Amino acid sequence: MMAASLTSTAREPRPYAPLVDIDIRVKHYGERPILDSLRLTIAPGEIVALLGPSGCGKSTLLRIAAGLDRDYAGTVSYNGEVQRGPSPLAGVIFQEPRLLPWLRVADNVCFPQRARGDALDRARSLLEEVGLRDEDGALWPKHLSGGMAQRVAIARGLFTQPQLLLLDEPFSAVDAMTRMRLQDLLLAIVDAHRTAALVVTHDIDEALHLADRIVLLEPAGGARTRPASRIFEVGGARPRRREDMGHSVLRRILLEGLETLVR
Amino acid sequence: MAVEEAAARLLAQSSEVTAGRRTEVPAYGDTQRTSAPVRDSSAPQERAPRAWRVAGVLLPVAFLLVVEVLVRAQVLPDNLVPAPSEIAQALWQLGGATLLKHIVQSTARVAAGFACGALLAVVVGAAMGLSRRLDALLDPSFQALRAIPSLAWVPVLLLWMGIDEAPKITLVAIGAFFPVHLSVLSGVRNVDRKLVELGTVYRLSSWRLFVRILLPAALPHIFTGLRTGLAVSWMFVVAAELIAATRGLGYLLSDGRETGRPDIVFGAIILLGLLGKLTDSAMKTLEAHVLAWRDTSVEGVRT
Repeated sequence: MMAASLTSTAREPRPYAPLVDIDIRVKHYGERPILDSLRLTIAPGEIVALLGPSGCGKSTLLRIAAGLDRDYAGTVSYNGEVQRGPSPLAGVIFQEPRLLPWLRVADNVCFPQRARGDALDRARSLLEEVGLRDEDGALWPKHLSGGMAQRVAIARGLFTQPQLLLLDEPFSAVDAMTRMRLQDLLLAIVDAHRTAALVVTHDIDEALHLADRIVLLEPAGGARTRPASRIFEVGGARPRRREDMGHSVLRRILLEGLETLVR
Repeated sequence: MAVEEAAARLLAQSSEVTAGRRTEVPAYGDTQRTSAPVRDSSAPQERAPRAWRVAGVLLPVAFLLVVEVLVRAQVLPDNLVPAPSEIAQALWQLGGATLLKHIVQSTARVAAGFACGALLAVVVGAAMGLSRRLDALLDPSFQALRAIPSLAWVPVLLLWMGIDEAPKITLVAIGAFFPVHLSVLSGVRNVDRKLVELGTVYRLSSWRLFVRILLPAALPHIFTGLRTGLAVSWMFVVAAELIAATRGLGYLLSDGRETGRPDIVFGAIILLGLLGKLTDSAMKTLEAHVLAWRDTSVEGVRT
Protein backbone atom coordinates (compact mmCIF):
# COMPACT_ATOMS: atom_id res chain seq x y z
CA MET A 1 0.00 0.00 0.00
CA MET A 2 2.84 2.37 0.80
CA ALA A 3 4.47 1.71 -2.53
CA ALA A 4 1.39 3.07 -4.23
CA SER A 5 1.92 6.52 -2.86
CA LEU A 6 5.26 6.69 -4.64
CA THR A 7 3.63 6.62 -8.05
CA SER A 8 0.17 7.90 -7.33
CA THR A 9 -0.17 11.64 -7.51
CA ALA A 10 -2.23 13.64 -5.13
CA ARG A 11 -5.42 15.10 -6.54
CA GLU A 12 -4.52 18.62 -7.51
CA PRO A 13 -5.87 21.11 -10.01
CA ARG A 14 -4.36 20.50 -13.40
CA PRO A 15 -2.73 23.39 -15.24
CA TYR A 16 -4.99 23.05 -18.31
CA ALA A 17 -8.72 23.43 -18.65
CA PRO A 18 -10.23 19.98 -18.48
CA LEU A 19 -12.46 18.76 -21.28
CA VAL A 20 -14.66 17.03 -18.77
CA ASP A 21 -14.85 17.43 -15.03
CA ILE A 22 -16.75 14.75 -13.15
CA ASP A 23 -17.37 15.71 -9.55
CA ILE A 24 -19.55 13.26 -7.67
CA ARG A 25 -20.44 13.91 -4.06
CA VAL A 26 -22.43 10.74 -3.70
CA LYS A 27 -24.26 8.22 -5.83
CA HIS A 28 -26.56 5.70 -4.20
CA TYR A 29 -27.62 2.37 -5.55
CA GLY A 30 -30.79 1.86 -3.61
CA GLU A 31 -29.74 2.48 -0.02
CA ARG A 32 -26.11 1.65 -0.61
CA PRO A 33 -23.65 4.40 -1.58
CA ILE A 34 -21.71 3.20 -4.60
CA LEU A 35 -19.65 6.29 -5.41
CA ASP A 36 -18.70 9.08 -3.05
CA SER A 37 -16.45 12.13 -3.01
CA LEU A 38 -14.93 11.35 -6.35
CA ARG A 39 -13.45 13.82 -8.77
CA LEU A 40 -12.12 12.95 -12.17
CA THR A 41 -11.00 15.35 -14.85
CA ILE A 42 -9.97 14.45 -18.36
CA ALA A 43 -7.90 16.72 -20.54
CA PRO A 44 -8.37 17.01 -24.31
CA GLY A 45 -6.71 14.12 -26.09
CA GLU A 46 -6.07 12.20 -22.89
CA ILE A 47 -6.90 8.54 -22.37
CA VAL A 48 -7.98 7.65 -18.86
CA ALA A 49 -8.63 4.09 -17.78
CA LEU A 50 -11.03 3.34 -14.94
CA LEU A 51 -9.89 0.22 -13.16
CA GLY A 52 -11.52 -1.48 -10.22
CA PRO A 53 -13.06 -4.68 -8.94
CA SER A 54 -16.52 -5.53 -10.18
CA GLY A 55 -19.27 -3.72 -8.34
CA CYS A 56 -17.08 -0.75 -7.45
CA GLY A 57 -19.11 1.60 -9.65
CA LYS A 58 -16.87 1.91 -12.72
CA SER A 59 -19.72 1.54 -15.17
CA THR A 60 -21.95 3.75 -13.05
CA LEU A 61 -19.33 6.48 -13.20
CA LEU A 62 -19.18 6.14 -16.97
CA ARG A 63 -22.96 6.25 -17.26
CA ILE A 64 -22.98 9.43 -15.19
CA ALA A 65 -20.35 10.94 -17.48
CA ALA A 66 -22.47 9.91 -20.48
CA GLY A 67 -25.55 11.56 -18.99
CA LEU A 68 -27.43 8.26 -18.90
CA ASP A 69 -27.63 8.27 -15.12
CA ARG A 70 -28.85 11.54 -13.63
CA ASP A 71 -29.68 10.28 -10.19
CA TYR A 72 -26.65 11.44 -8.22
CA ALA A 73 -25.41 14.36 -6.18
CA GLY A 74 -22.67 16.26 -7.94
CA THR A 75 -21.91 17.77 -11.32
CA VAL A 76 -20.51 16.77 -14.68
CA SER A 77 -19.09 19.63 -16.73
CA TYR A 78 -18.00 19.60 -20.33
CA ASN A 79 -15.66 22.47 -21.20
CA GLY A 80 -16.64 24.19 -17.99
CA GLU A 81 -20.39 23.96 -18.56
CA VAL A 82 -22.49 21.81 -16.29
CA GLN A 83 -24.17 19.08 -18.30
CA ARG A 84 -27.24 17.15 -17.23
CA GLY A 85 -28.10 14.42 -19.66
CA PRO A 86 -26.12 13.22 -22.67
CA SER A 87 -23.59 15.65 -24.07
CA PRO A 88 -23.15 16.14 -27.80
CA LEU A 89 -19.42 16.24 -27.09
CA ALA A 90 -19.34 12.63 -25.95
CA GLY A 91 -19.59 9.45 -27.98
CA VAL A 92 -20.54 6.29 -26.11
CA ILE A 93 -19.36 2.78 -26.95
CA PHE A 94 -20.96 0.05 -24.88
CA GLN A 95 -19.73 -3.35 -23.85
CA GLU A 96 -21.93 -4.94 -26.49
CA PRO A 97 -22.10 -3.31 -29.92
CA ARG A 98 -25.78 -2.35 -29.60
CA LEU A 99 -26.26 -2.14 -33.34
CA LEU A 100 -29.84 -1.74 -34.47
CA PRO A 101 -30.59 -5.06 -36.16
CA TRP A 102 -33.01 -3.54 -38.68
CA LEU A 103 -30.47 -1.12 -40.09
CA ARG A 104 -27.69 -2.15 -42.42
CA VAL A 105 -24.17 -1.58 -41.17
CA ALA A 106 -23.66 1.78 -42.92
CA ASP A 107 -27.06 3.02 -41.73
CA ASN A 108 -26.14 2.00 -38.20
CA VAL A 109 -23.03 4.15 -38.38
CA CYS A 110 -24.99 7.23 -39.39
CA PHE A 111 -27.85 6.41 -37.03
CA PRO A 112 -27.26 9.68 -35.11
CA GLN A 113 -28.28 11.44 -38.31
CA ARG A 114 -30.60 10.58 -41.14
CA ALA A 115 -28.99 8.26 -43.67
CA ARG A 116 -28.66 10.64 -46.58
CA GLY A 117 -25.93 11.23 -49.14
CA ASP A 118 -23.36 13.12 -47.08
CA ALA A 119 -24.00 11.15 -43.93
CA LEU A 120 -23.66 7.86 -45.80
CA ASP A 121 -20.39 9.01 -47.34
CA ARG A 122 -19.07 9.87 -43.91
CA ALA A 123 -20.28 6.53 -42.59
CA ARG A 124 -18.44 4.72 -45.36
CA SER A 125 -15.18 6.53 -44.69
CA LEU A 126 -15.53 5.79 -40.96
CA LEU A 127 -16.14 2.13 -41.74
CA GLU A 128 -12.98 2.10 -43.80
CA GLU A 129 -11.13 3.73 -40.94
CA VAL A 130 -12.19 1.04 -38.47
CA GLY A 131 -11.07 -1.63 -40.90
CA LEU A 132 -14.23 -2.71 -42.67
CA ARG A 133 -14.64 -3.00 -46.40
CA ASP A 134 -17.01 -0.87 -48.40
CA GLU A 135 -19.34 -3.75 -49.20
CA ASP A 136 -19.62 -4.59 -45.50
CA GLY A 137 -21.71 -1.44 -45.18
CA ALA A 138 -24.58 -3.25 -46.91
CA LEU A 139 -24.60 -6.20 -44.48
CA TRP A 140 -27.16 -6.74 -41.76
CA PRO A 141 -25.68 -6.65 -38.25
CA LYS A 142 -26.61 -10.32 -37.77
CA HIS A 143 -23.96 -11.22 -40.31
CA LEU A 144 -21.14 -9.58 -38.36
CA SER A 145 -18.78 -11.29 -35.97
CA GLY A 146 -18.42 -9.82 -32.49
CA GLY A 147 -15.20 -8.02 -33.40
CA MET A 148 -16.61 -6.55 -36.58
CA ALA A 149 -19.79 -5.45 -34.82
CA GLN A 150 -17.71 -3.64 -32.20
CA ARG A 151 -15.75 -1.92 -34.98
CA VAL A 152 -19.06 -0.70 -36.39
CA ALA A 153 -20.03 0.52 -32.92
CA ILE A 154 -16.76 2.47 -32.74
CA ALA A 155 -17.47 4.00 -36.16
CA ARG A 156 -20.92 5.02 -34.94
CA GLY A 157 -19.41 6.49 -31.78
CA LEU A 158 -17.15 8.64 -33.95
CA PHE A 159 -19.91 9.77 -36.29
CA THR A 160 -20.92 12.81 -34.23
CA GLN A 161 -17.26 13.91 -34.05
CA PRO A 162 -17.11 13.72 -30.26
CA GLN A 163 -14.31 15.24 -28.23
CA LEU A 164 -14.56 12.43 -25.70
CA LEU A 165 -15.17 8.74 -26.22
CA LEU A 166 -16.75 6.91 -23.31
CA LEU A 167 -16.08 3.20 -23.50
CA ASP A 168 -17.68 0.72 -21.10
CA GLU A 169 -15.55 -2.45 -21.09
CA PRO A 170 -15.62 -2.23 -24.87
CA PHE A 171 -13.45 -5.23 -25.66
CA SER A 172 -14.37 -7.63 -22.87
CA ALA A 173 -16.70 -9.70 -25.04
CA VAL A 174 -14.23 -10.53 -27.80
CA ASP A 175 -11.40 -13.05 -27.98
CA ALA A 176 -7.88 -12.09 -26.92
CA MET A 177 -6.50 -11.63 -30.43
CA THR A 178 -9.40 -9.42 -31.52
CA ARG A 179 -9.12 -7.49 -28.28
CA MET A 180 -5.50 -6.54 -29.01
CA ARG A 181 -6.36 -5.42 -32.52
CA LEU A 182 -9.29 -3.39 -31.28
CA GLN A 183 -7.13 -1.77 -28.59
CA ASP A 184 -4.64 -0.69 -31.24
CA LEU A 185 -7.50 0.53 -33.41
CA LEU A 186 -8.77 2.63 -30.52
CA LEU A 187 -5.33 4.18 -30.01
CA ALA A 188 -5.05 5.01 -33.70
CA ILE A 189 -8.51 6.53 -33.72
CA VAL A 190 -7.96 8.64 -30.62
CA ASP A 191 -4.84 10.04 -32.26
CA ALA A 192 -6.42 10.60 -35.67
CA HIS A 193 -9.55 12.28 -34.31
CA ARG A 194 -7.83 14.05 -31.44
CA THR A 195 -10.44 12.83 -29.00
CA ALA A 196 -10.03 12.03 -25.36
CA ALA A 197 -11.24 8.72 -24.01
CA LEU A 198 -12.47 7.29 -20.76
CA VAL A 199 -12.17 3.51 -20.80
CA VAL A 200 -13.76 1.36 -18.15
CA THR A 201 -11.92 -1.92 -17.85
CA HIS A 202 -11.10 -4.68 -15.41
CA ASP A 203 -8.03 -5.68 -17.38
CA ILE A 204 -4.80 -4.24 -15.95
CA ASP A 205 -2.86 -4.87 -19.14
CA GLU A 206 -5.50 -3.13 -21.22
CA ALA A 207 -5.34 -0.14 -18.88
CA LEU A 208 -1.55 -0.06 -19.05
CA HIS A 209 -1.51 -0.32 -22.83
CA LEU A 210 -4.13 2.31 -23.51
CA ALA A 211 -4.11 4.87 -20.75
CA ASP A 212 -2.17 7.99 -19.93
CA ARG A 213 -3.65 7.81 -16.48
CA ILE A 214 -5.19 4.93 -14.61
CA VAL A 215 -7.80 5.60 -11.99
CA LEU A 216 -8.11 2.81 -9.47
CA LEU A 217 -11.62 3.02 -8.08
CA GLU A 218 -12.44 1.77 -4.63
CA PRO A 219 -15.85 0.61 -3.51
CA ALA A 220 -17.63 3.32 -1.54
CA GLY A 221 -19.03 3.08 1.97
CA GLY A 222 -17.72 1.33 5.04
CA ALA A 223 -15.09 2.70 7.34
CA ARG A 224 -12.83 3.86 4.58
CA THR A 225 -9.90 6.01 5.46
CA ARG A 226 -8.39 6.21 2.00
CA PRO A 227 -9.70 8.45 -0.79
CA ALA A 228 -12.27 6.97 -3.16
CA SER A 229 -9.82 6.66 -5.98
CA ARG A 230 -6.11 6.61 -6.57
CA ILE A 231 -4.63 7.94 -9.77
CA PHE A 232 -1.59 6.47 -11.42
CA GLU A 233 0.30 8.18 -14.20
CA VAL A 234 1.43 5.73 -16.82
CA GLY A 235 4.78 6.74 -18.22
CA GLY A 236 5.79 6.59 -21.86
CA ALA A 237 4.21 8.04 -24.93
CA ARG A 238 1.64 6.15 -26.97
CA PRO A 239 1.67 3.93 -28.87
CA ARG A 240 3.41 1.59 -26.49
CA ARG A 241 4.88 -1.75 -27.31
CA ARG A 242 3.03 -4.62 -25.72
CA GLU A 243 6.25 -6.42 -24.83
CA ASP A 244 7.38 -3.34 -22.89
CA MET A 245 8.33 -4.52 -19.43
CA GLY A 246 8.74 -1.01 -18.11
CA HIS A 247 5.26 -1.14 -16.65
CA SER A 248 5.90 -4.21 -14.58
CA VAL A 249 6.30 -2.23 -11.37
CA LEU A 250 3.09 -0.33 -11.99
CA ARG A 251 1.36 -3.56 -12.98
CA ARG A 252 2.35 -5.13 -9.68
CA ILE A 253 1.17 -2.12 -7.70
CA LEU A 254 -2.15 -2.09 -9.52
CA LEU A 255 -2.57 -5.79 -8.99
CA GLU A 256 -1.85 -5.47 -5.29
CA GLY A 257 -4.21 -2.52 -5.12
CA LEU A 258 -6.97 -4.51 -6.79
CA GLU A 259 -6.39 -7.46 -4.50
CA THR A 260 -6.68 -5.37 -1.35
CA LEU A 261 -9.90 -3.89 -2.69
CA VAL A 262 -11.44 -7.22 -3.44
CA ARG A 263 -10.62 -8.52 0.01
CA MET B 1 -4.62 -47.60 -45.48
CA ALA B 2 -7.06 -47.31 -48.33
CA VAL B 3 -9.84 -46.47 -45.94
CA GLU B 4 -7.75 -43.79 -44.26
CA GLU B 5 -6.87 -42.26 -47.59
CA ALA B 6 -10.48 -42.17 -48.63
CA ALA B 7 -11.44 -40.57 -45.35
CA ALA B 8 -8.73 -37.96 -45.74
CA ARG B 9 -9.89 -37.19 -49.26
CA LEU B 10 -13.43 -36.90 -48.04
CA LEU B 11 -12.38 -34.51 -45.28
CA ALA B 12 -10.45 -32.40 -47.75
CA GLN B 13 -13.44 -32.25 -50.01
CA SER B 14 -15.81 -31.28 -47.27
CA SER B 15 -13.51 -28.51 -46.08
CA GLU B 16 -13.38 -27.25 -49.64
CA VAL B 17 -17.12 -27.15 -49.69
CA THR B 18 -17.24 -25.20 -46.45
CA ALA B 19 -14.61 -22.79 -47.72
CA GLY B 20 -16.57 -22.37 -50.92
CA ARG B 21 -19.69 -21.52 -49.00
CA ARG B 22 -17.88 -18.95 -46.98
CA THR B 23 -16.53 -17.04 -49.94
CA GLU B 24 -19.61 -14.82 -49.99
CA VAL B 25 -18.52 -13.56 -46.59
CA PRO B 26 -15.14 -11.83 -46.40
CA ALA B 27 -12.65 -13.33 -43.99
CA TYR B 28 -10.91 -11.08 -41.52
CA GLY B 29 -7.76 -11.85 -39.67
CA ASP B 30 -9.02 -10.70 -36.34
CA THR B 31 -12.59 -11.76 -36.57
CA GLN B 32 -14.23 -15.09 -36.43
CA ARG B 33 -17.06 -15.36 -38.88
CA THR B 34 -19.25 -17.53 -36.79
CA SER B 35 -22.37 -16.51 -38.61
CA ALA B 36 -21.53 -18.05 -41.95
CA PRO B 37 -21.27 -21.68 -40.88
CA VAL B 38 -24.07 -21.20 -38.41
CA ARG B 39 -26.26 -19.83 -41.16
CA ASP B 40 -25.52 -22.93 -43.22
CA SER B 41 -26.56 -25.23 -40.44
CA SER B 42 -29.63 -23.18 -39.67
CA ALA B 43 -30.90 -23.24 -43.23
CA PRO B 44 -32.59 -26.63 -42.96
CA GLN B 45 -34.16 -25.57 -39.68
CA GLU B 46 -35.61 -22.40 -41.13
CA ARG B 47 -37.02 -24.21 -44.13
CA ALA B 48 -38.04 -27.82 -43.92
CA PRO B 49 -36.78 -30.05 -46.73
CA ARG B 50 -38.58 -29.54 -50.01
CA ALA B 51 -40.20 -32.98 -49.98
CA TRP B 52 -41.89 -32.28 -46.66
CA ARG B 53 -43.19 -28.93 -47.82
CA VAL B 54 -44.67 -30.56 -50.92
CA ALA B 55 -46.18 -33.23 -48.69
CA GLY B 56 -47.70 -30.50 -46.53
CA VAL B 57 -49.54 -29.12 -49.55
CA LEU B 58 -50.61 -32.60 -50.67
CA LEU B 59 -51.95 -33.62 -47.26
CA PRO B 60 -55.36 -31.86 -47.59
CA VAL B 61 -55.64 -33.16 -51.17
CA ALA B 62 -55.03 -36.67 -49.90
CA PHE B 63 -57.61 -36.11 -47.18
CA LEU B 64 -60.23 -35.09 -49.76
CA LEU B 65 -59.38 -38.17 -51.82
CA VAL B 66 -59.86 -40.42 -48.80
CA VAL B 67 -63.23 -38.77 -48.07
CA GLU B 68 -64.20 -39.26 -51.73
CA VAL B 69 -63.37 -42.97 -51.56
CA LEU B 70 -65.17 -43.43 -48.23
CA VAL B 71 -68.32 -41.69 -49.50
CA ARG B 72 -68.29 -43.67 -52.75
CA ALA B 73 -67.86 -46.88 -50.75
CA GLN B 74 -70.82 -45.69 -48.64
CA VAL B 75 -68.82 -45.83 -45.43
CA LEU B 76 -69.77 -42.19 -44.88
CA PRO B 77 -73.39 -41.16 -45.54
CA ASP B 78 -73.47 -38.72 -48.47
CA ASN B 79 -76.36 -36.70 -47.02
CA LEU B 80 -74.04 -35.67 -44.16
CA VAL B 81 -70.72 -35.57 -45.96
CA PRO B 82 -70.98 -34.81 -49.65
CA ALA B 83 -68.23 -36.28 -51.80
CA PRO B 84 -65.55 -33.73 -52.73
CA SER B 85 -66.37 -34.32 -56.38
CA GLU B 86 -69.98 -33.37 -55.68
CA ILE B 87 -68.82 -30.23 -53.87
CA ALA B 88 -66.70 -29.29 -56.86
CA GLN B 89 -69.61 -29.95 -59.15
CA ALA B 90 -71.95 -27.82 -57.06
CA LEU B 91 -69.50 -24.94 -57.11
CA TRP B 92 -69.05 -25.40 -60.85
CA GLN B 93 -72.80 -25.25 -61.36
CA LEU B 94 -72.96 -21.96 -59.50
CA GLY B 95 -70.81 -20.60 -62.28
CA GLY B 96 -67.46 -18.84 -62.23
CA ALA B 97 -68.98 -15.36 -62.28
CA THR B 98 -71.29 -16.00 -59.32
CA LEU B 99 -68.52 -17.65 -57.34
CA LEU B 100 -66.09 -14.86 -58.11
CA LYS B 101 -68.71 -12.31 -57.05
CA HIS B 102 -68.99 -13.96 -53.62
CA ILE B 103 -65.23 -14.31 -53.24
CA VAL B 104 -64.51 -10.73 -54.29
CA GLN B 105 -67.22 -9.40 -52.00
CA SER B 106 -65.88 -11.23 -48.93
CA THR B 107 -62.27 -10.40 -49.76
CA ALA B 108 -63.11 -6.73 -50.19
CA ARG B 109 -64.86 -6.66 -46.80
CA VAL B 110 -61.91 -8.38 -45.15
CA ALA B 111 -59.45 -6.01 -46.83
CA ALA B 112 -61.36 -2.87 -45.86
CA GLY B 113 -62.17 -4.01 -42.33
CA PHE B 114 -58.70 -5.38 -41.66
CA ALA B 115 -57.03 -2.22 -42.96
CA CYS B 116 -59.19 0.06 -40.80
CA GLY B 117 -58.95 -2.13 -37.70
CA ALA B 118 -55.22 -2.77 -37.96
CA LEU B 119 -54.37 0.88 -38.63
CA LEU B 120 -56.43 2.05 -35.68
CA ALA B 121 -54.90 -0.70 -33.54
CA VAL B 122 -51.37 0.39 -34.40
CA VAL B 123 -52.15 3.99 -33.46
CA VAL B 124 -54.00 3.17 -30.22
CA GLY B 125 -51.58 0.38 -29.29
CA ALA B 126 -48.56 2.60 -29.82
CA ALA B 127 -50.11 5.40 -27.78
CA MET B 128 -50.88 3.01 -24.93
CA GLY B 129 -47.46 1.41 -25.24
CA LEU B 130 -45.76 4.77 -24.91
CA SER B 131 -47.91 6.21 -22.15
CA ARG B 132 -48.44 4.29 -18.94
CA ARG B 133 -51.21 6.69 -17.97
CA LEU B 134 -53.14 6.14 -21.19
CA ASP B 135 -52.63 2.42 -20.74
CA ALA B 136 -53.95 2.50 -17.20
CA LEU B 137 -56.91 4.55 -18.37
CA LEU B 138 -57.93 2.49 -21.40
CA ASP B 139 -56.77 -1.02 -20.64
CA PRO B 140 -59.77 -2.18 -18.55
CA SER B 141 -62.23 -0.99 -21.21
CA PHE B 142 -60.36 -2.68 -24.03
CA GLN B 143 -60.10 -5.90 -22.05
CA ALA B 144 -63.87 -5.88 -21.61
CA LEU B 145 -64.56 -5.01 -25.25
CA ARG B 146 -62.21 -7.77 -26.38
CA ALA B 147 -64.20 -10.32 -24.43
CA ILE B 148 -67.42 -9.59 -26.36
CA PRO B 149 -68.11 -12.36 -28.92
CA SER B 150 -68.31 -11.30 -32.54
CA LEU B 151 -71.95 -12.33 -32.97
CA ALA B 152 -73.00 -10.07 -30.09
CA TRP B 153 -71.94 -7.06 -32.14
CA VAL B 154 -74.08 -7.97 -35.13
CA PRO B 155 -77.50 -6.75 -33.90
CA VAL B 156 -75.98 -3.58 -32.47
CA LEU B 157 -74.19 -2.76 -35.70
CA LEU B 158 -77.31 -3.54 -37.74
CA LEU B 159 -79.29 -1.24 -35.48
CA TRP B 160 -76.80 1.59 -35.81
CA MET B 161 -75.67 1.26 -39.38
CA GLY B 162 -78.42 -0.53 -41.25
CA ILE B 163 -77.78 -3.48 -43.53
CA ASP B 164 -75.27 -1.82 -45.81
CA GLU B 165 -71.56 -2.51 -46.12
CA ALA B 166 -70.77 -0.28 -43.13
CA PRO B 167 -71.79 -2.70 -40.33
CA LYS B 168 -69.98 -5.62 -41.99
CA ILE B 169 -66.75 -3.74 -42.48
CA THR B 170 -67.01 -2.38 -38.94
CA LEU B 171 -67.45 -5.89 -37.56
CA VAL B 172 -64.35 -7.09 -39.40
CA ALA B 173 -62.46 -4.04 -38.17
CA ILE B 174 -63.47 -4.84 -34.58
CA GLY B 175 -62.21 -8.38 -35.07
CA ALA B 176 -58.88 -7.29 -36.54
CA PHE B 177 -58.38 -4.54 -33.98
CA PHE B 178 -57.79 -6.54 -30.81
CA PRO B 179 -55.03 -8.98 -31.82
CA VAL B 180 -53.12 -6.20 -33.56
CA HIS B 181 -53.66 -3.82 -30.66
CA LEU B 182 -52.32 -6.35 -28.19
CA SER B 183 -49.28 -7.14 -30.32
CA VAL B 184 -48.37 -3.48 -30.82
CA LEU B 185 -48.75 -2.83 -27.11
CA SER B 186 -46.56 -5.74 -26.05
CA GLY B 187 -44.13 -5.08 -28.92
CA VAL B 188 -43.53 -1.49 -27.87
CA ARG B 189 -43.35 -2.50 -24.20
CA ASN B 190 -40.79 -5.22 -24.76
CA VAL B 191 -38.26 -3.21 -26.73
CA ASP B 192 -34.76 -3.86 -25.39
CA ARG B 193 -33.99 -1.15 -22.82
CA LYS B 194 -30.45 -0.98 -24.21
CA LEU B 195 -31.71 0.06 -27.62
CA VAL B 196 -33.91 2.73 -26.06
CA GLU B 197 -30.82 3.97 -24.22
CA LEU B 198 -29.12 4.41 -27.58
CA GLY B 199 -31.88 6.86 -28.42
CA THR B 200 -31.10 8.71 -25.18
CA VAL B 201 -27.40 8.88 -26.06
CA TYR B 202 -28.21 10.50 -29.39
CA ARG B 203 -30.84 12.71 -27.76
CA LEU B 204 -33.71 11.66 -29.99
CA SER B 205 -37.05 13.39 -29.47
CA SER B 206 -39.87 11.11 -28.33
CA TRP B 207 -41.36 11.04 -31.82
CA ARG B 208 -38.06 10.10 -33.43
CA LEU B 209 -37.40 7.58 -30.70
CA PHE B 210 -40.71 5.97 -31.58
CA VAL B 211 -40.19 5.99 -35.33
CA ARG B 212 -36.53 5.05 -35.36
CA ILE B 213 -36.26 2.60 -32.46
CA LEU B 214 -39.52 1.53 -30.81
CA LEU B 215 -41.58 0.86 -33.93
CA PRO B 216 -38.95 -1.10 -35.90
CA ALA B 217 -38.02 -3.04 -32.78
CA ALA B 218 -41.67 -3.92 -32.23
CA LEU B 219 -42.23 -5.04 -35.83
CA PRO B 220 -41.70 -8.78 -35.25
CA HIS B 221 -44.38 -8.68 -32.54
CA ILE B 222 -46.65 -6.54 -34.70
CA PHE B 223 -46.47 -8.94 -37.63
CA THR B 224 -47.57 -11.81 -35.42
CA GLY B 225 -50.56 -9.69 -34.41
CA LEU B 226 -51.29 -8.74 -38.01
CA ARG B 227 -51.41 -12.38 -39.04
CA THR B 228 -53.71 -13.27 -36.14
CA GLY B 229 -55.83 -10.23 -36.96
CA LEU B 230 -56.16 -11.31 -40.57
CA ALA B 231 -57.31 -14.79 -39.55
CA VAL B 232 -59.86 -13.28 -37.16
CA SER B 233 -61.03 -10.97 -39.95
CA TRP B 234 -62.05 -13.99 -42.02
CA MET B 235 -63.95 -15.36 -39.04
CA PHE B 236 -65.75 -12.08 -38.48
CA VAL B 237 -66.63 -11.54 -42.13
CA VAL B 238 -68.54 -14.81 -42.10
CA ALA B 239 -70.33 -13.74 -38.94
CA ALA B 240 -71.26 -10.50 -40.67
CA GLU B 241 -72.44 -12.22 -43.83
CA LEU B 242 -74.46 -14.93 -42.12
CA ILE B 243 -77.00 -12.26 -41.30
CA ALA B 244 -78.34 -9.65 -43.68
CA ALA B 245 -76.19 -10.17 -46.71
CA THR B 246 -76.93 -11.04 -50.30
CA ARG B 247 -73.36 -11.71 -51.35
CA GLY B 248 -70.20 -13.15 -49.93
CA LEU B 249 -69.05 -16.56 -48.82
CA GLY B 250 -70.88 -16.25 -45.50
CA TYR B 251 -74.07 -15.66 -47.45
CA LEU B 252 -73.30 -18.66 -49.65
CA LEU B 253 -72.85 -20.72 -46.50
CA SER B 254 -76.15 -19.70 -44.90
CA ASP B 255 -77.95 -19.95 -48.24
CA GLY B 256 -76.67 -23.51 -48.63
CA ARG B 257 -77.87 -24.34 -45.15
CA GLU B 258 -81.33 -22.85 -45.71
CA THR B 259 -81.82 -24.59 -49.05
CA GLY B 260 -80.56 -27.92 -47.72
CA ARG B 261 -77.45 -28.05 -49.86
CA PRO B 262 -74.56 -29.47 -47.77
CA ASP B 263 -72.41 -29.52 -50.91
CA ILE B 264 -72.67 -25.71 -51.12
CA VAL B 265 -72.00 -25.37 -47.38
CA PHE B 266 -68.86 -27.48 -47.64
CA GLY B 267 -67.85 -25.67 -50.81
CA ALA B 268 -68.04 -22.32 -49.01
CA ILE B 269 -66.07 -23.74 -46.10
CA ILE B 270 -63.33 -25.01 -48.38
CA LEU B 271 -63.17 -21.68 -50.19
CA LEU B 272 -62.89 -19.83 -46.87
CA GLY B 273 -60.04 -22.10 -45.87
CA LEU B 274 -58.28 -21.52 -49.16
CA LEU B 275 -58.69 -17.75 -49.03
CA GLY B 276 -57.54 -17.61 -45.41
CA LYS B 277 -54.48 -19.63 -46.28
CA LEU B 278 -53.70 -17.49 -49.33
CA THR B 279 -53.98 -14.18 -47.51
CA ASP B 280 -51.90 -15.52 -44.63
CA SER B 281 -49.22 -16.65 -47.08
CA ALA B 282 -49.23 -13.18 -48.59
CA MET B 283 -48.80 -11.67 -45.13
CA LYS B 284 -46.03 -14.15 -44.36
CA THR B 285 -44.19 -13.19 -47.55
CA LEU B 286 -44.50 -9.53 -46.63
CA GLU B 287 -43.23 -10.33 -43.15
CA ALA B 288 -40.21 -12.22 -44.46
CA HIS B 289 -39.44 -9.29 -46.72
CA VAL B 290 -39.85 -6.56 -44.11
CA LEU B 291 -38.09 -8.54 -41.36
CA ALA B 292 -35.17 -9.73 -43.48
CA TRP B 293 -32.88 -8.25 -40.83
CA ARG B 294 -34.21 -10.51 -38.11
CA ASP B 295 -31.72 -12.81 -36.47
CA THR B 296 -33.20 -16.28 -36.25
CA SER B 297 -33.11 -18.14 -32.97
CA VAL B 298 -30.46 -20.48 -34.31
CA GLU B 299 -28.16 -17.62 -35.20
CA GLY B 300 -28.96 -15.90 -31.96
CA VAL B 301 -27.17 -18.48 -29.83
CA ARG B 302 -23.75 -17.76 -31.26
CA THR B 303 -21.28 -16.31 -28.84
